[in-house]
Amino acid sequence: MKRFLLAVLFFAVLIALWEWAFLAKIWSPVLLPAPQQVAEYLKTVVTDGTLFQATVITMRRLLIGYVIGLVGAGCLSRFCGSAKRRRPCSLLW
Amino acid sequence: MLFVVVMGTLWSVVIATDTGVRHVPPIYRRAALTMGSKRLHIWLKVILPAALPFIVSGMKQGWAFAWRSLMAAEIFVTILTGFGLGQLLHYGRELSAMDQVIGIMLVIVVIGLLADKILFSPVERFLHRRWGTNP
Repeated sequence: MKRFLLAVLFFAVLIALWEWAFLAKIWSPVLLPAPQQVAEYLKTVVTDGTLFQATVITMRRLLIGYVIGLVGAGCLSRFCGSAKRRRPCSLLW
Repeated sequence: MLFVVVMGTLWSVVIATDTGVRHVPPIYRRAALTMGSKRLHIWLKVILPAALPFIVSGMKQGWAFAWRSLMAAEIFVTILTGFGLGQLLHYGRELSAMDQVIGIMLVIVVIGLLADKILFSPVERFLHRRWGTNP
């Protein structure tokens, strides 16, 4: 609970800093938009479904690749283990 | 795309698994052999559980590598199978729509956090309980 509150506090401070940097006009508003603009963009993207679709596509790619990688790694590490173990005391092989 | 993700995952999991298997105390294996355990049985019931913390950390690292390199790949390459988050990021940059870029950045952060919480947190909690390293 305390950890959660700390995380919330951290993000609140981060957003406050961001807002401050926007208001202080350190960078042009084109380079650093306000948090509200970003929130608005996110809202439109969520409501028209673009974000959801893009996320699904990305996650599908990621998951397929990840599973292939895990299976391949399982096979490969099996070889790693047996190829390098040349100790005579190895009871397994 | 797929290649990048697979390459991101593969090596870190291989290295972690290899380290994990090497770091299993030999006494476990010998004890299992003494008690009449055979090769496959040793692999599944002795070595694998003993190496599991390493394997899980390798999987976690592999996930992080895969996620980052997939984002980079999607920014560089637009392919026909669909329009992913990286492409949204890229077109935001091309159109100088920084609100889009920062918004997608936030989405990427949130997905990373959620993946950690949903995929890896339960496994790690299980491991901590099993190994008695509960904080």
